[in-house]
Amino acid sequence: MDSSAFFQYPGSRPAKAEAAMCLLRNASDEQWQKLLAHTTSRRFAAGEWLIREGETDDALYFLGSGELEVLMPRGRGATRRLAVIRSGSVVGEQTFLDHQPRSTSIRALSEGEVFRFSRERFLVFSAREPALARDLLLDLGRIVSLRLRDTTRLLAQGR
Amino acid sequence: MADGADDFRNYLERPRWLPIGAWHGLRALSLATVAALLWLCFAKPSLALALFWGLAVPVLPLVFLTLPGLWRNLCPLAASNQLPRLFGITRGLTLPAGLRRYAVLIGLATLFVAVSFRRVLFDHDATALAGLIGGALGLALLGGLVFKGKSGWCGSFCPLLPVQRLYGQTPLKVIPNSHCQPCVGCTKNCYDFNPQVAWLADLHDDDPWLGTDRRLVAGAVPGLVLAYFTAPVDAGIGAQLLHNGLYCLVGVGAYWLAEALFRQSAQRTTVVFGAVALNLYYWFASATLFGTLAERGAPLPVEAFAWGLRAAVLVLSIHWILRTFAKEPLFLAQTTGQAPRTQIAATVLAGHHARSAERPVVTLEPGAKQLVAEPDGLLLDLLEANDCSINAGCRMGACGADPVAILAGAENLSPCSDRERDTLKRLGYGEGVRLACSARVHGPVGVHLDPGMAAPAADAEPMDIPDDLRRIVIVGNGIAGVTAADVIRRHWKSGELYLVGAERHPLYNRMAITKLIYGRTAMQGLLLMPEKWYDDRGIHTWLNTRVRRIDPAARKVHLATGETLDYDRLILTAGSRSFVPPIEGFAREGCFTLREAEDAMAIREYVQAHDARHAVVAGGGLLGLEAAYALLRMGLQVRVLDRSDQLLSRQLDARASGHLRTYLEGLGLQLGFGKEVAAAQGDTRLRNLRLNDGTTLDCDLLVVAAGIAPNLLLASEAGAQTGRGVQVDERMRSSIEHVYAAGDAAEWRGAPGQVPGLWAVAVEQGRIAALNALGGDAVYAPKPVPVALKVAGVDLTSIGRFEAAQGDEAIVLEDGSRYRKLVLHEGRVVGALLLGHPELADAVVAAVDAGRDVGGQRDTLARGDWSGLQA
Repeated sequence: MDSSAFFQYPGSRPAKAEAAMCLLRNASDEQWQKLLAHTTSRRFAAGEWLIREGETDDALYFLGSGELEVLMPRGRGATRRLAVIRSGSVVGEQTFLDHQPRSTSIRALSEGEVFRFSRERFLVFSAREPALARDLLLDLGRIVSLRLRDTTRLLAQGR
Repeated sequence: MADGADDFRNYLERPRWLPIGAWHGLRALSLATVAALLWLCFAKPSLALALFWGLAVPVLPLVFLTLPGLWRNLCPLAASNQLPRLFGITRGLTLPAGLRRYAVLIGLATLFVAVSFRRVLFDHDATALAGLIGGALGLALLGGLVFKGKSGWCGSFCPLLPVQRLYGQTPLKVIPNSHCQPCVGCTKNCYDFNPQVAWLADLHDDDPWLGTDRRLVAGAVPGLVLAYFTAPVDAGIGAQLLHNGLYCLVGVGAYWLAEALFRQSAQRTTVVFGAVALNLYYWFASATLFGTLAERGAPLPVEAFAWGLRAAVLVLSIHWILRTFAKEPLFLAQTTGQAPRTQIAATVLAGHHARSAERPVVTLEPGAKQLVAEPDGLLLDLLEANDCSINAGCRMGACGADPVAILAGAENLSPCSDRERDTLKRLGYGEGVRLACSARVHGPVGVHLDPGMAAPAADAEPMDIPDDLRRIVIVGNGIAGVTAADVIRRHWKSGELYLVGAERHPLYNRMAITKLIYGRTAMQGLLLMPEKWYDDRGIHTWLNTRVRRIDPAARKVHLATGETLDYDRLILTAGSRSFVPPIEGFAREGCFTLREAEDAMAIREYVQAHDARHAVVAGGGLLGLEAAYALLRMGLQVRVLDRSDQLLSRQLDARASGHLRTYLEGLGLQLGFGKEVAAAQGDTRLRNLRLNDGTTLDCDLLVVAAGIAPNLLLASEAGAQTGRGVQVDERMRSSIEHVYAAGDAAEWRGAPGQVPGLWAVAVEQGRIAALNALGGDAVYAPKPVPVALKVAGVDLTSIGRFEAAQGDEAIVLEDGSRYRKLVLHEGRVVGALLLGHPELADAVVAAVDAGRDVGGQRDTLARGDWSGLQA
């Protein structure tokens, strides 16, 4: 399993995992602007919930600033922190792709801002910028597939 | 309070615990202490031995367990190792691959040999101990002189590193590395870089040997501990090595046995073995520790204290096991479920963030969400983009689907138009409520999604009611009927008011029924008022009830239920149904029209029940395109057929239609022109369509959206004059005395043959009919009604004349896929078309409404500057 993301030494080239998890690496700033023009912005304060487990909102979020925590329900209202998400990350890609309810909750650790890219706006975006939309989808598919690969290997190891 | 075991930040991302200078000072102190110990070894050997073996060594494992970072930063060997780097005299070489490969084993072997020599040598020979410590200091220094970072000792050969990695993986408090300034990336899965993850990363590494080393360490340590404390006191070094080696091998064997038997992850098994070793160690070392103190004069009850320490270690290690167990799933989730990243964070996202800082913020209740609005953006667009539970209908302030309470900053919204004010009045809202579709955001605003949070409107002036008027009956529960009922009740508190509706729902937003096809919510999101709205106003209501017959002579309405209602005035607002052109086999399952909420729900149900994949929508008008979009959103392949040669032929000119077509095809809609459905074919269910040109088209769902047919049977049977609809004069009076008609069912004599079927028209006619039924004198003066297409990404406004007629002139501007057109008649604005210009919609609609004279600014308008329209 590639855990190099935890050992991202300064000055070294981005870890394999880090590079692999990168969305639209080759997109230009201008292309990003086109994409972000289809997003809407929401600011949040520390402690605010952005996504609740079980919700059906199927948007993709870009974290513009701030820090979020991903929380997994543990029953009886308790949660466990699964990960911390830093600015520049993309959140919610699974629900964006599969329409299933959110599997985790996301709460803000600091104040910050997210850019929300709804499925509906994605449709519009894909009609206006088909090539970029195709790249985005292929990239999301690639990232989700890489993760599935890791998961499959983990299961094959019987752990 | 323990540090979060789930906090996997590396040392660079953690706040410093102490300033670097303080660490340097403490390390100097640490080196001085070890120098003093070395001196003691010669000056007072027994004291040195007692301090080292009796105090330091028994205490250190607990430090490794609880505050390993403290030791990693203060260890004198590390200080020695890092001196060359500190003074810039290290060669900084990369550790050769072979040494790197076996570093763990070298360290483990060194530890094993050193422990084995304790009984025969180091435990009682202070000089040898000094040699051991001095030698280790020298080796650490040598490692630092030659190899870069900490790879020459601390991160590789240090005999205590394997043990520290095992026990130090879930500290009570993470004390970040203060040595490496900067990090040079010298060691794979470096403990000092990320202490919480290093052990797990090794166990799960792509290189399986890393994990093997760790399991070997975890298996051997309990054996080594037990071996040392149970070794024969007087055996020679050979016997010691053999004894210890066998114990270690038994430990390692037990490890594999445990993995095979219990089949737990390597993380769990290693951690349990580590905890066993620690408890074994303190079983023996507790007595040693307090014994040493007692011997040196501290009056301690050694036994009691030893038992206390053993118990404390047991509790601590169980706590440690649980916390460490909990980490693995998180580690795996983060490793296999990493969030995608963008490399543009620093530039584009941050830039976007910075720009949004100047934009107005809408604080949304409930929840105090802070939404950043586009400059001059519509409140409705913002709420929709954020998936708020808000309705939308006409988007022109006419239907009243989207009222919200403005809690603060009302002055930062665009002013309320007459149309919006009328709608709010109908809904019974006063100050503090706005329609989200009609409010543009200029500054900070506080909004509550429940308009009930604002104060209700004041009542209207009472009217002089004719003496003979006791009871009014309204047939139809659409917007025309409900508007009429509402107006009547506002002016006439005491009158008897009856309302009979064929549909089973209270008034709902008919313009949004296509949302029922693809949305997850059913009726609830569509209802414009609760069922108790009628009761609150004392309106006697029959829903789901049909009228069989009207008897104008006796002034009676006969219901299909057998009941009869007397009336003094009757208002017919029976609406319309879908017009269906003759299509052979239209009765087959899978053929639908779309007019009522029930139709939309039936379509959704059918698509799911029969797994429909291919849909055809007959009719390229507003409803047809909205239905097609809804089916597309549901995931179907959708083809739209229109008998004309363009889309929206009643709302768009050919150019605009072409732009729209390009966009819709980009969305994935297939469009066919000059085509009509002749027959729906299949067995009981629809399988394919035969078109007017003879071709067939496979499909499993047909939605016909070919316009409306007013419901006029009741009126015509009662003897009223009808054309396409029930004919009415400008006071909405039908040809029968005391019978009025309004809405889709009515055909105004001023525009014979036209039944617009528009919400805003129905609202106005309902109001006029109500006022006149009450004995007032209100005259219908139609205004051009703007229409829009509710398909995502289409910003379309069409109002008035969109094609220049004889004597008109047109100003047309085209910019890529954006298109705008203004039709003038003798300088006055009589019509407009906008595609992709939402920012101009308000101005254009206002200009057409007012018939504004813009003859003087033709040139400016032609250049594209339409700001003058606002004036």
